[in-house]
Formats: sequence, structure tokens, C-alpha cells
Amino acid sequence: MKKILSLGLLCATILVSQAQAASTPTVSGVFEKTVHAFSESHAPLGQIPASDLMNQPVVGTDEETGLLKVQTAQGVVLVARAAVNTTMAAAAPRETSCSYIGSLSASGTGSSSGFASKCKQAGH
Amino acid sequence: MMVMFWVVYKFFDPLSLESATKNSSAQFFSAITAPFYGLSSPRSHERVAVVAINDPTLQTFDAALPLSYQRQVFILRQILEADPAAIYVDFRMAYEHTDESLTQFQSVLDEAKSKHIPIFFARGEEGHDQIHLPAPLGDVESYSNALKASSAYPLLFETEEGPQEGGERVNEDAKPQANAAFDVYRSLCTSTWSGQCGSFHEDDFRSPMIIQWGLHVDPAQTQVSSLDNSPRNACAVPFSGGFFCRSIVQSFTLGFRAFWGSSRDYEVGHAYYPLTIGAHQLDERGLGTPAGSPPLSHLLKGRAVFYGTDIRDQHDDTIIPFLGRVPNVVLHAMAFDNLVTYGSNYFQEPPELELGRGIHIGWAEICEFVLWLIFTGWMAFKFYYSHPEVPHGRGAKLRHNIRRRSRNFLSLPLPVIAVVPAIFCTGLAAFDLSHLPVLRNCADEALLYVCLFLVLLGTLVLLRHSAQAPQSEDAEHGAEESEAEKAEKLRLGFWAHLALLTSLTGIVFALNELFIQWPNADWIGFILLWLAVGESCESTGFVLTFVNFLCRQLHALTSERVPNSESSSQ
Repeated sequence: MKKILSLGLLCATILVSQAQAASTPTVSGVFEKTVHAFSESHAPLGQIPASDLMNQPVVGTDEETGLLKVQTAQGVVLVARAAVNTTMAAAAPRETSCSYIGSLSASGTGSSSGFASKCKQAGH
Repeated sequence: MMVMFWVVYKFFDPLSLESATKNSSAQFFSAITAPFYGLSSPRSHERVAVVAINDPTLQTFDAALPLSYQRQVFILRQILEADPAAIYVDFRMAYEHTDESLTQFQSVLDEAKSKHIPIFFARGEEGHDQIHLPAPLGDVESYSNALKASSAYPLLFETEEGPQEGGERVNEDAKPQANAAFDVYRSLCTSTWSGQCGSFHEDDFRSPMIIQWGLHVDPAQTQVSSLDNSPRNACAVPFSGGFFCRSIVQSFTLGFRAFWGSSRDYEVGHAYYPLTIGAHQLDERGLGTPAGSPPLSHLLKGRAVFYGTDIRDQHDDTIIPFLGRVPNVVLHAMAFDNLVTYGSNYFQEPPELELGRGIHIGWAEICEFVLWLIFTGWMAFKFYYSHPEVPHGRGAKLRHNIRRRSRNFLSLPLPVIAVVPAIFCTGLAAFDLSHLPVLRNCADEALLYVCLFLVLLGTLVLLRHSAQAPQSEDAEHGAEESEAEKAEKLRLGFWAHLALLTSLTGIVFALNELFIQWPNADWIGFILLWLAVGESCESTGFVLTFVNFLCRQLHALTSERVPNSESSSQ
């Protein structure tokens, strides 16, 4: 009886862990050959190869920066959300960030380096 | 002599006077016409959009240019999912990346085909050495020329293409090669938009386009980006902002600034006329929209989408008078909006007449020349028969009759005189307003013709005064004129001449906008030279000095050639 119970427990454990593994989102695609990565403390790690991220589990989102937390062989790294494709269920669209899009001076004076720029906070 | 000056000014362009004048006056004309662009068409704005790779996009994507094909395919799929009317990809993919294959785009092409969405890929600027795009993009390639030196946007190219190197490819397509905006327009007008383009004939689009720019943004642009960075955008949202944002008021204020050359600091930060969305924003909801709102990509539905870069350092941009530097992907989109707005009645380069041996002359030049002949002929006629030694014949009688009739007309009561410009302006206004589909735009358009009427009336009043002054002198003092009276006559004559010039400009501008639709700046040389006409009769003026010099030289030359007639007769 004990043997049957322990066998059942083992099967249940395997099934649960497999189900859990199946529900853990993973990185399904990377758009560029390398991706900028950051440590959990936001320290830059330089660029890591796309192959290091492929099929790796996404363990969460960094609250402060919005970067994705991906478990790799080197540990958890943070990468830009739009730099990778994941198997995560599509979330509702988030509000776009404020930006300016418009023409620049022909002479180049008094204009920014690009046609589009992010809005600056007041006082900056 | 004035005609000779015109020929030198027009064709030899000394010190680039003609071209420089054209360029600077284009600034002024853009300023006064831009607030009105799009008001006459309900389809303007609604049919076009730009999806751009800009600096925030690269930052969000954690990527650099050139983007990987995988990324491009991902963005194009996002655009396709929104069911646009057509897509133009303004990235030239003439050579394959070393580690990626262009065959990745095949899935995009297949999806576009299955959804009946025309899709084009930029081939680069038209030219004999321009290579075709590799497969599978070769079948959907299209030129992506920016503005020509004459500031015109080419629509069609007369290219005769033989087999490429190795004889791999022969141009079997009978259709003339087209530029980005027209290729998209042509494909839509011959397919899904066939009922909306009217009768579409490709030959009606052979002349390059003079793109008209608008100042208003698409109403949906406020969901995408903020307009707060620049005071230029205070009136950018159509039909908002009160009295000072009325098109007519904007036209006056911007035109005034541009006229005095103070528009240089004004050309930064104008939001683009076509709806422009960063590629990274496609899956984000709009600014200020509630949670659960659809992503911004849904704004692309039913529009022709021009997808390209919006990054200054890519040098894929063009300087537009009054607006400043604008990315070329926006330029293509604006050209497309002009096609949607005006159809085949778009503003265009005047057609040219072939004179042989590679010499061309434009119809605008011919038109100017004819007008000059008429004006200078009339001046010569007046000058000749006003001379006391000229015998009184039919010419003098004709001049006297014309003068008497014009004086009779000008001596009529002012309300009677005002009928003539009133009829003229009412006729133009009726023609123009009958083409307006939306009644709310009528007030601004109608006010334009009121302004034109006031200018014409003011000119007639001045002419009336200057015509009455000599009459009263004749009556009271006979032929004697005091210095003060002469000065007054000269002053009145000067102001009448200036007012006549302003009226002439107004009339030409109105007729050009409504019927001829050539570049406004083409007329500026004509108008400026007309301004010099008054100077031609001044004894110290350049023109008369030059004429006297030529006469003396001519006289000396003829005296040398013909032996002394007196001595020979003796």
C-alpha cells in the first residue's frame, strides 16, 4: 500500500511540475543576434548572444524598469520587453509613452538630434 | 528693353537671382497656403498614415539600424493585421544581410496578397544604374525618389529597361515605372478604390507634382504624440483654438512673418500633416485612452501606410519651405495625400515645349513672356504717344480714347466702380465654394475673397485719386504745375502702382490656385520685374541709364558704318 501511495505521489509531483513548466512562459524568439542585458541590480552586462535567451523561462517583470526577467545559465538577466518574443499571454495594450514627433530646423539650429523624442519632465 | 531684362533674368539667372527669389518666395507661399490645405476634401488625412522607425523606437526595441529582417517582418505583420489599404516599405533592401535571407519576407507578401493589400518595397532613386531588388522583393519594387532640383515630386518615369547584367531580367511590365506615392495610388485606384478615384487615367499624372503641405494634424495624432513641444502646434488640431487659429488668420500671420523673413525660427517642431506613429507604439494604446482600449495599430485600418525611418542621422530627409527638415517617408505620404485630395488636378510643374536640340521652354515661361509682351507693348504705346513731337494719328486717337474711357470709368461713383471687383470675386468664390464638400470650411474660404475684393477696391480708389488729380489741375491751373503738385502726383502714382502690383498678385494667385495650379513661386519673378517698371522711367534709374547707353552705342555704330551722308550729298 505504501508503495502504491508513494508511486502515486511521485506521478502527481511529475504531472504538477510538468504542468507548471508548461505554464511558465519562455523566450520564443529574439529579433537581433545579440541583446543588451542587465543584472537584477540594473548593472549593465553588455550584450549577450540571442542563443543564450532562446527557450529560457521568463520569470517575471522588473517593476522599476519594465524589463523582462529571464532565467539563463548565467543567472537571471533583464532584457527589453520588445527585444524578444515570448510565449506569454498577450497582455492588454499599455498606454504609449509621451513623445514629440515633428519637423526639424533646416539649418539644424535649435533642434534636437532626431525627428522624434521623448517628452521631458517639467523642470528638466 | 524690359522683355530683354526678363529673358536675361529668366534664362541666364545672373547671380542665381531667379532661383534664389523662387526659393525664398516659396517660403512665403507655403506660409499663406498651408493653413488651407485639406479643407476642400473630406478624404484628406483619412487615407494615409506613416509608421516610422524613430529614436524612441530603436530605444524601445533595443536595436540599431539596419533592423534585422525578423524585426521588419514582425512590424509588417503588425501593420497587416490592422487591415491597411496598402503598404509602402521605404527601406531599400538591395543587398541581403550576411546572416539573414530576404525570403523571410515571403510570408508577408503572401499574407498581403491573400488580403488584397498592395505592398511595395523601395528600390531607391530612379536611374539607369539602379539595381533591382533581389527575390522575392523584385516583383513589388517601386522607386522612392524625393524632390527634384525644381522642388517637384516625380510621379512617373519614362524608363526603357533592357535586360539586366547576365540577361536575367527583362522588364515585361508594360506599365511605366512610378514613384512611391503614385505607385500606391495607382494600385488602389485600379483595385479597391476604383469607385473613389473617379475616372483614373495614368496619362493625367505625367507631370511632376508640386506638393502642397498642410499645417493641421490628423485628429488621431493627439493619441500618438504630444503637440506641446512647439507653439507652432497651438493651432494644429483642425477646428480648435478659436479665432487666432482660423485658417484665414493663420494665413495672414504666418504670411506676414514669412514675408519679412522672420520664419526661420518658425520652422521647427511642426507636427506632420499625415498621421505618424512610431513602430514601437503599434501595440500600445493611445495617450489618455482608458485601459482596454485597442492598440494604436487600429488607426491604420483602411489607410495607405508608408513605413520608413524618421531619424535625422539617416539623411533620408528633405528641406521643405517654411516647415523645415522632414523625413522622406513623410514626404511620400504627403504626396499621396495630395493625390487623394486633388486627384488629377494636383499642383504640378508646368508642361514644357520641346524646341529641339535639347532646349525646353516651360508653359509658365511662355505665359509670362506673353504677359510681358502685352504689358511692355502697352507701356511703349503710352510712352510713344505721350511725346509731344509724335504726330497725331490713329495711335494717338486710340490712346486718347482709352485714357478718356478709363478716366470716365474711374470718375463714376465708388459704389458703381465697386461692382466690377465684386462680380469678379463673387464669381471666383462661387466656383471655389461649390467644390467644398463641408460647409464648416466655407467661412474661411469666403473671407479670402472678401480680402481680395478689398485689395482690388483699394487699388481702384487709388487709381481714381491719381486720375482725378490731373483733371482738377487742368481745370484750375491749366498746364502749369507747381513742384508740390508734381510731388503729390508722383506719390499718388507710386502708391497706385504698388496697389496695382498687389492686386495683380492677388488675382494671379487666386486664378492659379483655382484653375492653373502651377507653382506659385514661378510668378514671383514676373511680379518683381513689374515692380521695376516704375523705375524704368526714372532718369537716374538703372533701366533708363542702360537704355541710353545702348542707344548711344547703337548710334555710334551706325554712324561708323554709314559714311557721312552730308559729305556724300555734297
